[in-house]
Amino acid sequence: MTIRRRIFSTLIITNAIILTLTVAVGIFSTFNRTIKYESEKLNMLSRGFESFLGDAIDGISNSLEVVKDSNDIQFLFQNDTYLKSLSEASIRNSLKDVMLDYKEIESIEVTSGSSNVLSQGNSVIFQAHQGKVYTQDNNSYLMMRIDVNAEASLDVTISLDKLFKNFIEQNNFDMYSQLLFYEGNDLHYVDLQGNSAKMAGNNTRELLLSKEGNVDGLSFYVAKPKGYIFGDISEYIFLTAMFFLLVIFLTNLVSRYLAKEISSSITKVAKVLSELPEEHFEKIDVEDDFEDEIKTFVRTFNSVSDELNYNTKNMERIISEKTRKIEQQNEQLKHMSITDELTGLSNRRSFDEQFSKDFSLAYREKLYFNFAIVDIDHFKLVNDKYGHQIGDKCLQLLAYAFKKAFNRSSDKIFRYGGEEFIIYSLSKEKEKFYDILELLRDSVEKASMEVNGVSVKVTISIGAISLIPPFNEYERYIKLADDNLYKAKALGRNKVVIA
Amino acid sequence: MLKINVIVCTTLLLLICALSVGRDLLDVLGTKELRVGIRNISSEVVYFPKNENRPGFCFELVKEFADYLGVKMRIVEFDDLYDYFDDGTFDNVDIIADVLTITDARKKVMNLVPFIENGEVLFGRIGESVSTLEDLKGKRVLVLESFAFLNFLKAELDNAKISYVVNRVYPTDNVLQYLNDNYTEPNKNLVEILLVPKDFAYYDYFDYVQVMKGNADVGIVDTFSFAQKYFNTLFLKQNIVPLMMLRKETGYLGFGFSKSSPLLAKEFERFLAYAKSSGMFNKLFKRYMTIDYNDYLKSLK
Repeated sequence: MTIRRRIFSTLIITNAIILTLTVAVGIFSTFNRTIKYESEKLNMLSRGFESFLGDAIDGISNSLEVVKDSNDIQFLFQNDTYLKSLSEASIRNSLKDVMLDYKEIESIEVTSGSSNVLSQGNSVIFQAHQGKVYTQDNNSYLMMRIDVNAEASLDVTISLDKLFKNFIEQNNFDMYSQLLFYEGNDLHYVDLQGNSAKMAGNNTRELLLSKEGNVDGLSFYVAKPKGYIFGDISEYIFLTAMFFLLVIFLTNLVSRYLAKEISSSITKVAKVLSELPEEHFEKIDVEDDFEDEIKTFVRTFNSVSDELNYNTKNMERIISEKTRKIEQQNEQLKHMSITDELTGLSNRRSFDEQFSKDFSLAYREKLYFNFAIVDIDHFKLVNDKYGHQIGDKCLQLLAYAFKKAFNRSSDKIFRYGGEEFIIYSLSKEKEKFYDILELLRDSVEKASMEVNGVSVKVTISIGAISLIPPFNEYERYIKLADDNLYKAKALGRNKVVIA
Repeated sequence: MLKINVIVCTTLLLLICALSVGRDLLDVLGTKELRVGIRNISSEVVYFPKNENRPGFCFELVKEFADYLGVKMRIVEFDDLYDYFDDGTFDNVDIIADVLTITDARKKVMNLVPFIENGEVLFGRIGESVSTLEDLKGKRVLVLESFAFLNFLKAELDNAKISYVVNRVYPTDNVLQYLNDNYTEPNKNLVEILLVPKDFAYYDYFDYVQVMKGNADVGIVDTFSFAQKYFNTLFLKQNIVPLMMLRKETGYLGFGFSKSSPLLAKEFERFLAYAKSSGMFNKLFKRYMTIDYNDYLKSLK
């Protein structure tokens, strides 16, 4: 996945998660707050209506006190028609005044037992239950009885519809509110559209209810349809969803822009890096439009690149030195492996490696193969007489003499074993190989080697051969030289025998 | 012997006197019964037993007095106010609990202990404008002979040098029928006093009804009765208006006691003082009049 895509997808997903959580929490919180707010409002309405209804009942009661306590009521039940008519008219006037003050009153009646003595307003059937409600013809009424004396009472019918509507309108409350109350076991409702009826099955699931209010035995609730409450929330959810989509869209644009901006410098750096040659780090130019982090990265890279370049170059030098040392060591080892440690001459292994090749070369190229086997006469006696240290020193001195005698680069001298040496060289022309050997033998014979204050004298016997090899069997050639050495020994030693 | 005869005769005379006059406090306390003379006239001011809420101010006040004494109360009903002043009244009662206007004439007959301040108020139909006695000229003033208001009215008119005529009338059906004796033609310079004879059986609201019907222009009642009726009766408030006080002086209404019951009368005075200072009187007053006792006193002034 590219950095650009990763940044884009990360931003989008992160934003989506944050937004989703925010919206979920917001909706949940709003839902709870709305329910709580509406419940509190309904409780407030309930308390308010409790007070409003209580005040209305008290106010009506107080207003009717004048009628209730008046002497006029007595005259309604007397035979004096004049006083009766006077009282009736006066009571009616007073009741009218009360009804003007309280427009929720449907009727006020003076009753005695089951008789209606006087009625003012739209009389409804009074149920004789003070403080109880009565529903008739899509209207709800609160029935209120004020006892005048043992015989008479003032029966007031109050329209709950009007009362509740006035309460809501006077206080500018929510017009979707409803008033719920029980008539017996049946729950009734009054709404502000003039509807008042029994609720089917006393079902209040669709309503949010206030706490129960109670005034003079009338239990009631103020309610609001949940549909209206959640209608407001639905609108909020819709707006939130729109906002959500808008934010996601904007995030998309911003993410793309950011991803492009951030990845562009990285892409540039990556491209430069990809084009760098192997094992060679070049500096990358720090461009002005690079982000700070990328600049830091490039600077760090350049610094590291310098370090790597330096280390790489240094490494080559070190490796070269090491290789050279190893080669030297190898050379030394090789030299040691083919050199006799005591005399510094090539040893038997070196002879075995070179001889066959050189012999084949001489045979092939028709060269003279000048070959001699040198043996120190009675060298065992020297060791026995002077000790091995002296003997070894003698060997070194003799080797020195051999190298001095055969000092050409083409001359090869080997310590063949013990006190036996081999000297050979290849030449196109016949050489005075015998003369040189004789000089050597003579110089050894005449020389007196001073070793640790001891003067030692030795002789050498030489069996040699100097021919263009007629055969390619170097063993036979060696055999011929060895035979000559045997002859030299047989002749009394200190001799050169050559063929 | 003569001395013995004098003693016996004096003792007999005292016994006869004791038997013929009212009982005093010790007798009431001894019998544990207070006999109360009162009219049952369907008036909440006096005694209206059918009205459970307000059976009568005088009734309740005297009942409180009986309770104060710790005795039972026995009601002796009278038909008419004048009956109180008959001889032998106090043979049957210890106290007359009624709205008796205290006059010098009445004080000669019985011991009247005032329980409330009182005056005489003129009233008329709403719209009637009478604020001075001069305004009564050409008006018909209804007065009941059985009440004490006639003499007060005459005296005030005489003092004001306002001429008046007294024509006796008798209520029949819906009108006041002039009686033929000494009828004088009224005119706009005279005050015509329509006098209802004492033999007329007064019923509650009679005088108010006559004024409302237009049979008279002005009526006179005592302020105590007026306050009770006016503030408690809707049709009065809607049709009647108080015009002016007849006298400047404040009179009194009192309960009646036998002249031979000074201790009982004195005890009643003590009870009243207690009732007024304790607030009990005001509470009772307000229940009947709907206004405070002090406000009532102010209105009299």
